Amino acid sequence: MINCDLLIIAVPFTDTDKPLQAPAILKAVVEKHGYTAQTYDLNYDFSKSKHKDIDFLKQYFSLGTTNYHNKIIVAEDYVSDMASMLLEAFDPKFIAVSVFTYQCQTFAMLLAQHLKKLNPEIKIIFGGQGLSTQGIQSSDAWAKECKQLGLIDHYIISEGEQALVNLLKHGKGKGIDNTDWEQKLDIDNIPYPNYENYNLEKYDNKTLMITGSRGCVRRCTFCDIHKHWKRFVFRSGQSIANEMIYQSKKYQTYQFNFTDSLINGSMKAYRDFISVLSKHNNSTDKKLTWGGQFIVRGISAMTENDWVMTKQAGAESLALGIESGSEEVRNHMKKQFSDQDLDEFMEQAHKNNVALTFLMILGYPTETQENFLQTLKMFKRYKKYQSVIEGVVLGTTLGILPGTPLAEELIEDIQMNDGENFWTYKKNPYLDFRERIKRRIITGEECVKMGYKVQGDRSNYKLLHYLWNIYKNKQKQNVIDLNTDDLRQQKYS
Amino acid sequence: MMKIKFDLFVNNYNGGPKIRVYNNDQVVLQKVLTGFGHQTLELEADLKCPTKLTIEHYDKNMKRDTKLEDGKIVSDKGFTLEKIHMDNFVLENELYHFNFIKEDGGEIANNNYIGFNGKYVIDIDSEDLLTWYYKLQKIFINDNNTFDYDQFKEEIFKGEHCEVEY
Repeated sequence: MINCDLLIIAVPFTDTDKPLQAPAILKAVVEKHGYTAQTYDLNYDFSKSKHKDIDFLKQYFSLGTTNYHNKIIVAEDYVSDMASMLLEAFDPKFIAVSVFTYQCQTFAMLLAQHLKKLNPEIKIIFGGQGLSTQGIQSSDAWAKECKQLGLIDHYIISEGEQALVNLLKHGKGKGIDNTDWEQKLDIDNIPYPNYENYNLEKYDNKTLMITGSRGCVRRCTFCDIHKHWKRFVFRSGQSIANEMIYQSKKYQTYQFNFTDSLINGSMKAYRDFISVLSKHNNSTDKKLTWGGQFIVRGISAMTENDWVMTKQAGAESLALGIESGSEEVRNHMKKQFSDQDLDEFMEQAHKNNVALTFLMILGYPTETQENFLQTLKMFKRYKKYQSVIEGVVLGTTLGILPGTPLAEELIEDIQMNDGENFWTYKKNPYLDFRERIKRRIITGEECVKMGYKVQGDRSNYKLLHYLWNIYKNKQKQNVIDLNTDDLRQQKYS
Repeated sequence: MMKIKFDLFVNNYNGGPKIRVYNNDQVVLQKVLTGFGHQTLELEADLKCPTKLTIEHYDKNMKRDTKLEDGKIVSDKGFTLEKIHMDNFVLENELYHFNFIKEDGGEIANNNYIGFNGKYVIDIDSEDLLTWYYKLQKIFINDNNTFDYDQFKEEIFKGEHCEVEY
């Protein structure tokens, strides 16, 4: 049995084949402060489970409900076995449970319940963005309830690095059992994630996550990131590159994926980063590759030389928030790039063979029929670049989240109709939920006809169908599907 | 103690509907709703989850207590469940989710008008109200397994063509 101050666990259900980053970061952070920590990825075990009721378990853990009440005992037994296994292997003082999305809540609650039964002395902490159920800005109601029920001893809202150390040291602090968390402004000194307890060889996708920045330089009208992280903070390019090089040598893993809202938010840091990494890649056979979310910039902001170095530095898959083929719509969104910027960007990506994924929003409040057709025209125009457009994410239709500029600035003209997806806009009344679904369907079909690979199409249609049924039955929309570790998908759910 | 409030619309033909409210098998309220129109019933009950909260409509004579004219119902003994408040949680559209079990055992789904004798049962099948309420909000997604893209598209376009020129 392994004694430790802290056992950090990732719990199901997150639909990923990659190692989850949070436990590795927290392990490194608390060890830096002299505590002993172990990590365990229960989500990985679950993803590889050959359990005969795995489909039922996935659904039950994700949604916390089932029509097959007699099977709930199967889920209880599975979690009970996991709790026993953990406490046979580890003897921790604290157990921190990483609740990555709200779809980890059911498992987390059951696990805490069983752990408390087995050993009520162990202090249980919940943390992670999954503590909130509706958007990144929502409250701590669920976590507070878990605490009141005695399932957990503490919960940590948002960034956990400093809060967890404060909790271990002092038993209290900002963001601990309250929403009064404080953004960390210096993220250069966070220790590198420690994956020692992960069996990285076993993961199907040997990609490590890396964080170069938090927050965003933009204030896109549909997004609430800037409300959560008030400041855009970023690491130096050298620091990011150093971490990637160090981790690749330590873990023999050469693929990385950025968790950032955008990789090239600070062009200075970005240039430093690609400069160091392109030199590294030019001097080794084990070249590093990376991907993540990227801002579209015209050639004046991102030069031909930047593009050459971007390729040499290992850029492999960049996700672009294009959102609309209409410059007018993008201007309203405050995306801050023109059609010309986009054309220049596409030309360079194609020339340098950097793969791209388009993230789109169908049915923005100001989107007219003409604007909508401009999106289709854009796809037609970029057919010539299809060799580097590896995917198009159309999502469902735009949901207006609390805390976004759309929700706040258009409050007089937007009617929510009992659901974030059901809104109507007084100045564009034709664009109701049905019309938005129509545009979504048409775009999906046209993209496929043009030869684009539309990602996650069936699950998006299923979700739309589900929302449509709520809408037409005049029910209230309460569930947001965040069943993925992929920000590209989460954003549109 | 849990505060429970029922918002009802009552049709009071022939003296009005008689109702009983149960916490599991224990009657916590019994009343004849003699007035017509919107009414509120409030009570406090020691509900320990999991439990079943049941609203029973009883003693209605289906021959005498419904007034028909030319085959149409013009007056009735019964009530519409408009809202149920349980502490801070409110069930409104969610009320369509629960079935009404008639005294002959037949079930009526997707209905909040209680016009027959029988029991409307809210099965609170969780250890606490919050967990149950979250489950209730999510439960509808379970019905989404039978998704058919073509049918969905047809429903959205309602026969309109979906070809566009661009």
